[in-house]
This record gives sequence, structure tokens and C-alpha cells, in this order.
Amino acid sequence: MNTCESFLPDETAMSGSRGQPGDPSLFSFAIAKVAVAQICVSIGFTGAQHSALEVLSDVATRYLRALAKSASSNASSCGRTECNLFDAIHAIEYMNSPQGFQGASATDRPLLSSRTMRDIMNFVGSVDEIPFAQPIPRSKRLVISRCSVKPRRNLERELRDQPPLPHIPPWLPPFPDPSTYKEGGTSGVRRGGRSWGDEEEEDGSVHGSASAACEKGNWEEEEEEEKKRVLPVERGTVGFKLGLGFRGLEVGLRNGVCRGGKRVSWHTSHNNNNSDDENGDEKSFNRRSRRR
Amino acid sequence: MMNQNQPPSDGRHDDDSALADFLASLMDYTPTIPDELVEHYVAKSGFQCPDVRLIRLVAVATQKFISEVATDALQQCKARQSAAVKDKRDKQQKQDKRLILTMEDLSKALHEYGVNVKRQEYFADSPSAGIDPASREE
Repeated sequence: MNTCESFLPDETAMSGSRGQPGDPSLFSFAIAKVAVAQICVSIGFTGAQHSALEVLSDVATRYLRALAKSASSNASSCGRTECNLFDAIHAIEYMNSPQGFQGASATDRPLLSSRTMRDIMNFVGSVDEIPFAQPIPRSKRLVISRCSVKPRRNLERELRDQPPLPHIPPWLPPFPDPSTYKEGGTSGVRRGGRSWGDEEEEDGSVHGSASAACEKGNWEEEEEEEKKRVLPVERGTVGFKLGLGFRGLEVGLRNGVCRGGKRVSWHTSHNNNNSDDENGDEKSFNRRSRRR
Repeated sequence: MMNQNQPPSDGRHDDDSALADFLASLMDYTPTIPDELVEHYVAKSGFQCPDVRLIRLVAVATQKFISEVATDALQQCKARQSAAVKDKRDKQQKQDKRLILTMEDLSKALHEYGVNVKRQEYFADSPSAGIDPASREE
């Protein structure tokens, strides 16, 4: 396997460790290989070793990502989220600085008249146009741009019968289904059951007994649902007391950890034994009166 | 983007106009690296720009870089072939037609651009291959 040390110190992925078959990154890498092979053919090569072509296309993708990363960091350091031409030219100059270009040391030259741009212009003028071999189907992810987010969001809201609220920014995710947080959600189920029973009644008298059974069944369902809301095991109530001190040790208010403040303590008490909270419950705290 | 320029002085006006014309001509020029691929990799790095001209510019810059590397590799290949051909001139025509991008040429070409490519010289079939028999006994 060929190892490739890149000039980017933060890129740790090696060219040999490609993803599993079916990995979407393999698709983009295959396209990059074809593009690089076309470039090699235009230069004059008649063939290429598999490993050499993979290495060169790996270098191409890394160069592309490095350009984009440099440009985006230039933009964000200026407080912008979108890159402009100056960020791109800065990034191109940065990537060409190891080889050097004319005028790299001149700091007072304007960025738009950079030598790198002139070289690119000459390159475009001299090299014949080589379009990519086959059209590439755009994935749906690329198609979704910022302008299409709003209609999609409105569509979802329409589905949930919610008017587009002007005070909510459109980039936030939509609200959850109201049945998840409104109590009328379960009643909706009940209503659905009843309407089903009602429909059965409307069908005819033949189903009268069946509809009555259905209604009874619905009622039982309601009771079950109510029971589900109630805890199956009776548990003791939990009360809170303000106080200090653990296990009989009196901790002063003015010193120690709880200097000058209240501490919320916790003790359990059973329903029938309210008078026993003073005795021997290990988790109880003694209440201490505050002295000022 | 071009709105953010400073008011062009006489000296810069030519450069700015040339650059503006170049960016406009980029829309007619189709880079070898397709726009979809460039957008994919560029979006991975956080590059957000709705303008296609910048995408094309980045694609063209990458294409220029790769073609430079490939050109250097081709020169290495031709130099190697001409050095080998000195011995036998009968096979000169055959070798000129077959220019194959090999790892040797590519590693030499990439070395000038700061990319160090290592390759195994050979592959051994067992971990103890090539060890002296004296040390193997130990």
C-alpha cells in the first residue's frame, strides 16, 4: 500500500484506508479519478498505474479541500459566512506559496492583480477545454439550497395546520406533532374509537350490539389508559426541609461548607408515619434554626 | 463580489477589468473537474458561496495544480526513457508511444510540491524474509 504524507498537517486519513464498498465517498473519489485521468491524458500520458492514479487523485481532492478550508477560514476571520473573491485569491496564494510565485513578497500590491490569478488566466487561455466524460447526477442534498428551505418548511407547517409564525426564524426545525405534548392527544385516540363505534351504529341496526360492545371496549380502553398514567406501586411522598447537619452532627451555619446559607435537605417519610421522621432515618437532616 | 472593490485607480483598472472579464469567461469554460464534485468537496470544508464563478475558479486552480504535477511527472518519465534509450536505439519508437504514469515519476514530481509519497520497494511474503540465517536461528 502506498502511504501519502500530505502537506496539510491536520489531514490524517491515508489514501489506502478507503471506505467500505457502497460508501458515498467512494463515488466522489471515483469521479475525481476519472477527472485526473482526463487531465493526464491531455498532458500526454498514455496510461497510468492504478496506485499512481489513486495517489494523484487523492492529492487533487486534498488540494481542493485545502483551498476551500483556507478560503472559508479567511471569510470567517473577517466575520462573514460566505466567501468572496478575495478569500479565494488569498487561499490560492496560500496554496501556491510553497512553490512561490512572482510578487509573493510584495505586501503592498493589491490582491486582485496577484500573479497567481494571471497564471490561472494564462492557463485557461492556453489549455483546451476538457469537459468531464459523463454527466453527473446531482444528489438531492446538493439541490436543497437555502431558497428551497422556506417552501419546504411552509409545506410541513401546512401539513400540521400551523400558520407560518413571523417571529420564528425559518432555519429552526419545525415544531413537533401537537399530539406529543398536548393532553388532547389521547382523547384524540378515544374520539377515534368512538367515531368508529358511531360509524358502526350508522351502518345499521344489525351492528347495534357490536357497536355497544365497541363502546364498552372503548370505555375499558379509557380506563386502562388512565391507569397507565397512575403509578402501579404506591410510593412514599418526598418532602424537603431546609436545614443543616448530617447524622446528628451539628454543622454551624457560620463555618464550614454551608457558611451563611441555607441548604436544602431531603428526607423520606411514609404516609402513615409522619411522626417518625425524627427517629433514625439515616437520610434525614436535623433542622437548625438560623441565628442572626 | 466585484462591488466590494475599491474605486479603481488608473493602474489597477486594467487588472480589475481583466479579472472581471476572466471571471465572466469562466462561465463559458468548462473545467475538467466537474462542478458537482467541486461543490461536494468544497462544502465539506465549509466553503459557502452561491456564486458559480468562485466554484469554477477553485476548480480551475486545482486543475492547474494537477496539470503542473502531471507535466513534471511526464518530464521525469521522458528523461528516464531518454537515459535508457542511449543504450538501445532500436526500441526508441516503441518506448516513446507508451508514457505511463508511474509511482517513481509521480513521487519525484510531488516532492517539489511538498508532498512526500513513500512506496514500498518490494513486498516480502513472510516477516522473516531477508534476515540472515545466523540471526534467524536465534
